[in-house]
Amino acid sequence: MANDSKYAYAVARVRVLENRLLDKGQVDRMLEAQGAREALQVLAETNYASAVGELKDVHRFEDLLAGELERVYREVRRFYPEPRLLEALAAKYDVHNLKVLLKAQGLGREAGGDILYPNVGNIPLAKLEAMFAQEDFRDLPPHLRQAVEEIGAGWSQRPDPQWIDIILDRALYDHLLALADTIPFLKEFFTHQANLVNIKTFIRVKILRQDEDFLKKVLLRGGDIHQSFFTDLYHEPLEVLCDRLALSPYAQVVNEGLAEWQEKGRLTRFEKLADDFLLNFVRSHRHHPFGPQALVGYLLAVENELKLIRIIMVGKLNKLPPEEIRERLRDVYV
Amino acid sequence: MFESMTGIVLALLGAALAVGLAGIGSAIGVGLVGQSASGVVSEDPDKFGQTLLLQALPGTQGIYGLLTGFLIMQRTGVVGGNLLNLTMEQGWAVFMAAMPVAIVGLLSAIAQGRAAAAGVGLIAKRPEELGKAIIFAVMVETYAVLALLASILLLFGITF
Amino acid sequence: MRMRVNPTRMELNRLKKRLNMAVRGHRLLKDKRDELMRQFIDLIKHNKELREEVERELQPALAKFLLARAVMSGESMEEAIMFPKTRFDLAVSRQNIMSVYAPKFSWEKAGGGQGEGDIYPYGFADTSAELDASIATLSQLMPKLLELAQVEKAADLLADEIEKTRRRVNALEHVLIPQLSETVRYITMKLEEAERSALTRLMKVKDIVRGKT
Repeated sequence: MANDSKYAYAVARVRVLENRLLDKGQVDRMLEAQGAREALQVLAETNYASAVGELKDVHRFEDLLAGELERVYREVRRFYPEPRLLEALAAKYDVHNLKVLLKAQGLGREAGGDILYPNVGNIPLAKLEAMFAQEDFRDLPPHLRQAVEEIGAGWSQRPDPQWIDIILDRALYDHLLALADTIPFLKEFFTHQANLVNIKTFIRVKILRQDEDFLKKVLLRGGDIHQSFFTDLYHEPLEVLCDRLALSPYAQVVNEGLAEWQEKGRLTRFEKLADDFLLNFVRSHRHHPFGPQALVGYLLAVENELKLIRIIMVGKLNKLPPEEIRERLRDVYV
Repeated sequence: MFESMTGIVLALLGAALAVGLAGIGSAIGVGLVGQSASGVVSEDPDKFGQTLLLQALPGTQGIYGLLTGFLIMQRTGVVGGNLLNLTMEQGWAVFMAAMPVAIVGLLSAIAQGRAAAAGVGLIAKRPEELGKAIIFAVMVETYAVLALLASILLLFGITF
Repeated sequence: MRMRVNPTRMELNRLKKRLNMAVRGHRLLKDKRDELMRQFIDLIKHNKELREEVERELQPALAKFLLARAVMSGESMEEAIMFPKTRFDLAVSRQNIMSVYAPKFSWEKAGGGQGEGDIYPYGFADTSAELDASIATLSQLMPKLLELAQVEKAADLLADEIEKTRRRVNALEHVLIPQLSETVRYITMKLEEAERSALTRLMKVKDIVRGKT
């Protein structure tokens, strides 16, 4: 019952905010627009009106998306009740910033401002940059500090940018699942996410013909499909993966995704289905009136919407045929 | 003397619980809906009237409790100024008569609060469905009314 | 157009020598031009093949890249590829094609990757699989791109040289040689004229002398 009153306000508020997300009709109209400018005009009638007004160049539409992401996180920070919830959902942006700064340090140059998230993550970017300037990482959360130290130790032996990503991704998911330990819904969500990432990673490693040791290194530990499941399958053909996952919730994602890989040699459909799976998982729980479900759902829906807009805008700017764009479009949340 | 005192004390304890527990239930319920409502109104101020309607719903249990309390006070002469001498049995009977409204009031008010808060979520999405949201919440009311009915019948059934 | 020179025998000798030289130079330059042309045509053919091949492969790679760009945020994309894993160490030396000095690249893959497939500078959790394919193609294409750059530069320099030689040949053929030969003819005529007039004068003098006696 304590949960009820904790979440009641935020959930109700999110219900109103959900109304302002793009609906299927608006997405379809964007898709049917002739050219990028017209697609942007559709956005001008929505929640994005003022941002579209400020946009001077269609090619800079990423600014609009970055601005919206920042705005939503700023707003949500004011009223989301459970700090761990937001910390978990924003953690990926901290990790992203760390990756960029570490790589920039490795290259010995400044990181471009365009590719960092200044105000979205849990740690303000300025603070992170200060840590890098002083090479003092004591103020980082323990899981990140450990990762940075591990990267630093490995770097002197063999500077490999891929390691930065791998170690930080792994630290991220370990941390997410630890954070979500007290929020069962969130834990379930991250477990699904980690499983799907692992399945995709497994397929990619097979396709790229990397060795088994490498696979062991890149698999995340968070999912509930164990690492040995993948390493055992490594020497089998990809079809065996379908059979083995036939009874899991991911059967459809894997079957259809791999069918397209066999046919056209790409994982586009797999990625779309994986994203849709996560979105649908959250969506099916979002009507819960007193719980984190709707709150997680809203943030995921915003991120999904930004992705939708990006896919359409990139497609329109480069004059891709609508089918090609549609193949990649994710579901709509509302 | 001591015995007759215990009788009236038990009766008054019943009244206090009827008012108190049902009131607590209503307070929790109304508070919960209030939180949801302010969540909605903070984004959409036009919805104030509709959400207020929903917020009022879990308040009825408190009123039923108060009604029962008054009835006990009136029957036992606390209000009339002419205090009855109740036996132990009579005291227990009055106490028991208050229980339906006290217990059902407490729990149904909270349950109704949850239903109404969910209803607030519903009208945030679809303002035109206010009627349905109210119906869902009002369904809970049935049991509070039944409890009130039971309490009143019991009270009138006791002879002093 | 003949030159303004004194029609003297000395001048004639000098001009004849120059004319001779010009004609010889013209022939040599013409040979050079033809040879350059031949080399150039070979180079262009090679260049065309190479360019078509590169474009054929580059086009889908860029298309894939574009699609990866669509499904990944700008931030993730930039982060993924900001730190390249493989490096090409490029050494530039000169090669001599008909005394045209064109750059010659030699390169060596360096850094990061152990083994062929190890070219991906990013982790797999936050990146799209569509990126893998385009990175793989681009990486395979790198040596061809370098070769194309080299061939194209050589063709460029060669074209310059051909143009220069052609202009020289033309200048010799249409200006200097006609000019010299005309002048030579003019001087020869002038000299013959002078000779004839001296001869006539002599005959006249002879007649006068004979008439007096």
